[in-house]
This record gives sequence, C-alpha cells and structure tokens, in this order.
Amino acid sequence: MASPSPLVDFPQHLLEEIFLRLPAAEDLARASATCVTFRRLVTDRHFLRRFRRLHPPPFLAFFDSHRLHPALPPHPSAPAARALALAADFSFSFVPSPHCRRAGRWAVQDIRDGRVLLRHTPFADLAVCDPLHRRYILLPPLPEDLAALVAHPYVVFNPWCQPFLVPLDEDAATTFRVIWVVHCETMAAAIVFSSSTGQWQTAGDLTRLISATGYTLLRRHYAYHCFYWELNPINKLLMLDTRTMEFSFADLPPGEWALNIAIVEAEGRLGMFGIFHETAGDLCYYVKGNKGESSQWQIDKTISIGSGHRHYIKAASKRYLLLGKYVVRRNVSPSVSDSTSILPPLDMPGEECISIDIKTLQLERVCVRSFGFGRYGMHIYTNFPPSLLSAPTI
Amino acid sequence: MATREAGKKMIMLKSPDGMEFEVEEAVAMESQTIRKMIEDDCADTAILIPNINSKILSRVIEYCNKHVPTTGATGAAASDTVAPAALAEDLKIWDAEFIKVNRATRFDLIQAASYLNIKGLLDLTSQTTIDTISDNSLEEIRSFLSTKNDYLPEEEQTIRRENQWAFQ
Repeated sequence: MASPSPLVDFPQHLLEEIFLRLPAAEDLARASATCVTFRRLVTDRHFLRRFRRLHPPPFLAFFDSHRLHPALPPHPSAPAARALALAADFSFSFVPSPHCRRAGRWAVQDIRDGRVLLRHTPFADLAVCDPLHRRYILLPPLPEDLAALVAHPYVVFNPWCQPFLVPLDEDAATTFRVIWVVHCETMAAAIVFSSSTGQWQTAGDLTRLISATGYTLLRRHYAYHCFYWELNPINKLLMLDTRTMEFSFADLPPGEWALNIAIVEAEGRLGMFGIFHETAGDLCYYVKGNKGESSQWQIDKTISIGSGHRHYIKAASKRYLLLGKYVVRRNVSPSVSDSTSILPPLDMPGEECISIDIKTLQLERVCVRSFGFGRYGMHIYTNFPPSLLSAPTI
Repeated sequence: MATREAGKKMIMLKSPDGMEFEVEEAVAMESQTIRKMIEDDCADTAILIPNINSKILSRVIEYCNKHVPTTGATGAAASDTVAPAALAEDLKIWDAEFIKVNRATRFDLIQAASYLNIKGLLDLTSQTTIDTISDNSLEEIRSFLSTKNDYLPEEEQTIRRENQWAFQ
C-alpha cells in the first residue's frame, strides 16, 4: 500500500488542475490563505490567466451616469462589491484633465471588461481608465476632419452617439479598441481607435444605409463580435460586425419592443431578452440559429419577474442583465441622504435594481433607491474583486 | 473474466506490486495514455503501469469498465430500451457511490487519473476535493487537504486583510 500523499506534495500541474475547478474567486482566495505552497500556486500569473479564462468575473456594481452603485446585501456579490468600492476610484480623480485652462469633467461613456471609457465633456477628448488599478490612457485627439463630425450638434446632444469600447479576446489583456458611430442628417460613419496603433481612422460608412432612410440609432447591444442598435422608427436592428466593420440590418422578433430588450450571447446562438408589456411580469427569452446566422427568432422560455410592477431592462453585459423594477416603498424611514427628515414617513416611489445571471437565470436584488435610477446610460461593472484575481486592464 | 466474449481483444495491465489485470482493450483505452501506447504499437501483450498500486489500479479499472461507451451488443445494460438520460443519471449515482472513499485513496485516484489521462475520473476526483474547499473554514480546509498552516501570523493577517471579502 502506498502511503497517502498530502495534497501539498502533489505535482504542481495536478494542484493547478484541482484549483482551476474552484467555482468562485472567494474559494481561490481562501485556498491561498491555507498555506504558502497554495499561495505560491494561485498567485502565479499563468495560473491566474487560466482561472480567469474559465470563470467569468462576477457582477459587482452598476454605474448610472454619475456614480457607482455596488451590490448590497443580501446580493451574493455584496462583500466583493464593498471591497471594490473601497479600493477603486470611480470619481476618476486620477485621470488628469486634458485642458489646463478649460473647465470640463470626465463623464462615463461606456464600461466593459473592467475598463471605463471617459469623455471630457463638453469636448471630444477621450480617456480609457481602470478605476480599480488607477491606470489610464488619454486618447490622442481626433484628426481634424473626424473631429468636425463629432462636433456636429446632433452628435453632441444625442445620447446614442456615444463612443464605446469593443470587447477583445482574453489574450489581448491590456489592448483595446474604441468605436465612435456618428450620424447626423447628412452622413453616418464609424471611426475607430486602436490602442495597438494609437491611431484614429474611419472604418465604415453607413450613410447610404441610414441617412437615406431617416432611421435613428437607439440603444446599443453586443454579442459575438457584433454590435446591434435598435432603430427608430422600425422594428429592426442595425448590426456592425467588428471583424469586417460592415453594417447590415437584422430582424427582431415581431412585437413592439420599445427599448425594452437586450441582445446577448446564448451558447453559440444569438439570444434576446425582451419585456413586451412593462407590467405583465414576463421576461421573454428568444434565441436564433447558430451565432445569429439562421434567420428566425424562436421563443425559448418565459421567466416570471412578478406582475403589477413596471420593469425595464437597464443594461446588459456578457453574463448579466440589469433589470429595473418600479416599486412603492412603504414607511421609508428617512435616511441621511434624504434631507426630508422633518417630514413624516411617506409612501415613496422607488426603483429596485435586479441582476439576472443569463446562464442560470438567477435573480438577485442589487439595491433600491427612492425616485429611481436613470432610465438609460447605465453600465454593469463586472470584475474580480481586489486583490488576488483582478489584473490591470490597461 | 467469465463474461469474456469471443472477438473482444483483451490486454493485460500490471501494477508494480505484481498484480495482473486482464481487461478489454476498449476499457483500457478509456485512458488516453494507454490508448496512445496501443495506437503507437508500443503495447505488448502486457502493460506495466508504474506508480499505481494494485488497489488503486483495480478501482481505476472498475471506473473505466463502468464508463466505457456501450456499443449495444454487450448486454442488458445497453439495451435499446434505456434512454440516454436515464443512463447518464445511473452513471451519476454510480459515480457518487464510487467516490465515497477516504481522503488518501481519493488523492491516489487523482494522481492515477492524471497519469493515465482519464478526464472523467480526474473531473470526478478533483471536484470532490474542491467541494471540501468551498464553504468550509480555513481550519477545515487544512484538515481536509492535510496541509499545515506554515504562514507567519502576520503574513496570514495580511492575506486575510487583502482578501477580506472572501472570508465573510
């Protein structure tokens, strides 16, 4: 009989195989605290890269135009979200102003893969930063001809004309691309910045496709290398393939969706969550062919989210949906932030935000706020909490 | 070996402590390591499996016997009337029973599964170990994995502080 070999004496590769199967980042953090050998193994960069590839980063918080809203108890991410809020700087004070004489402030345009795209409003200067690691890159100014496009009043004042981040493969851990789709009465085009070349360039002209028809672009979605925009006034999507930078149209399931959808990745197929009637309490889930190539949407399931309340899909990331639910809060005790403490408790309108794991369809309450959050311009922040697994993204 | 059928190629697996196991080639080939030896024609009539004692090797063979894909002609277990879902469920129950072993045996099975490259068995054995790490205190994890806390007290405090969220 061979004598039992303690796990620490296992060959390194075998220990790696075992620890890779740990379900969540907190298990890994706990395993690393058991002994020096395990600590050495799980802090190895090669191992951490493999672990991150196998485990999607958890939902930690969302951002609604001005501030971060970390998940609060009893959300399972609450402890990690608290660690994030303590460690990260979501006021972006570490990103210097590009103009020493001109006033302005950094406003969030997009959040993806732990990176935040900022615009120094009201100007066209952009920066990409990692608030957790306090790193940033100021993007070079747009070439003059392109800057003129962005400065068009229609583009400046249209919230849908924001620049956005393109998801990249995991291997390109610290490189990124930014796309700015500008469209006005006379023209529509995509301009692209790549951090590997450090250059802006025009990459796709959709004037012919959009301007001639008079459609306007609405909310943006992303799945499998393609961006999708809802279009006004038709029940169709505009699609941009980021590999070819070509635009085309795609169908939506029949119905009046009224900006209450999310396009998602559904294990090789294209998925769509949609709320038909705000108060019906049903979240419909449709899927379509192989990575969106087959043309027919089919209803896959209907998820009950509780009738009698208005529900809105606020944002989506690769793994999560953020749902807003309007509620009436009874007998709210006045808090420090409500400066109404002399008034008796009232029935107050409020909004509850709920995260939905797209894979498991698990619903978790993130937080509640009197008078609600913004309807649009909300972004989900997913990442590993500090410090073991969160790697700088810039 | 009474159920040995005509036309089935058998091979002999030998453990370092001198035991011999005659198994169907298809069963042995559940191990990618053995499969490669057979396909490369490196396998004689008998294959010596180093580092794996007879007790562990017999358990590994038991696992492979159960998990070898049935072709339909091998008996009642693979009869056409059994639905694939029911078979999978049956396997799951069998696996759960199979892995009810002490820690030392489980660690030996992990090493055997890794050396013989049997993915299903490596998944099963590692996952069971993982389950002991999730939702347990540090002291319990240390005892399950038979590791010792070799941190200096201040080092452990630092690690706990840095990853405080993981201990709540």
